Amino acid sequence: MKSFWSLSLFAACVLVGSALLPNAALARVPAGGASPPTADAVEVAAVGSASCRVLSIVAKKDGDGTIPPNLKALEAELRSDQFAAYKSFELVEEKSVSVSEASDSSVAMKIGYDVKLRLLAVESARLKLHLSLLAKGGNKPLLDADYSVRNGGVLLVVAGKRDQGRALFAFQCRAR
Amino acid sequence: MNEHDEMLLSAYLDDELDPSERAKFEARLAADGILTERLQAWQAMRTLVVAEAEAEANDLPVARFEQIWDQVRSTLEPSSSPTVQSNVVSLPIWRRYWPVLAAAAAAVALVILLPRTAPESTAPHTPPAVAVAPSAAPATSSPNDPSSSPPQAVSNNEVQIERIEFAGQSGRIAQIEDVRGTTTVIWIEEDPQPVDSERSL
Repeated sequence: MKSFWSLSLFAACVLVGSALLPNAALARVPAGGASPPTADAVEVAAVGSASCRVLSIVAKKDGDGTIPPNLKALEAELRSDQFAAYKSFELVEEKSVSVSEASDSSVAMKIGYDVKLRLLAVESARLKLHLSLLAKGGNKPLLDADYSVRNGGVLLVVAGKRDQGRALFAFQCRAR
Repeated sequence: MNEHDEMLLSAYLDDELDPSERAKFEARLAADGILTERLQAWQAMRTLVVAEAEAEANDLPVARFEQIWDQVRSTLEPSSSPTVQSNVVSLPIWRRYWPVLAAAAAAVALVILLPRTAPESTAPHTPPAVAVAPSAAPATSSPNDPSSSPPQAVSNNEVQIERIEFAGQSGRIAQIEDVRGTTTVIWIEEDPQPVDSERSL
């Protein structure tokens, strides 16, 4: 009985201590992605539109492992274990697209995919987006997702084989 | 004879009645033969018990009698017994309240010692940390189940996937941890036949 109360008191103190931790302890370290690692942590008003960059990259298993200058912003990610099998990366295309809550914005990529983006919501420094990725000639999206991302954050999508390599997409959106 | 009469009989034998009650009871005894017989029987029994106890007491040595009496007294008056007092050990305060003190110390340690991450960390770091293994992806859609996966709420990460559907063979979600934060990578497994892009045409 005595030990039960001691344990309960200990648990209560742990909970109180955790509740007193400031929110800064859980703050995120801003990610880099395809842009300089500046924090866009400002409060974003519900503006209803955003500007997105879509990068299409081919990752190949042969090469000397050099990251080209136009992909330096993604170097940390491309050198991670996730892409350890790939030794060279080539930026095929970069497109800018405006997205809004009104309708889907479609982008046809030379690498053989169609990208559809739609802004779903803007919520205090985060964007909620809908992403759809179709292979050219396909009738059903290979990927259909709703996600939220920090304003200026990056999402990577690795698709199928293209040009003797693997198609890789980077999506970065900023609210206007 | 009822219970009240038995109580009166017992009190009368023990000389516990006040004078007026005693007089009344003696008047009843004179008039009630059954009550008188019961009184005589009780008196005889009492005489026997007392005689027996006295005989037994006379057989006991005086020293043993004192010893028994000391034991009885120590049982009745424990605070006055030096033996009982010596068994009570008073613990120091820190031993009495160590659970409370330990809990309080643990809470203080949690508040003070837990690392607090700065919002803008610009300190240089070593090469990127090991990424999450693809097999440890939290949300994966099976080939025959293109339905949407349950929402993935990943705290402290850049991307939170709220709904995802893979229409191809399958897919998985992985994360890369590096000095700048967490990057989410969605892997799509398409059909095995590669499709040429416009670049190769």
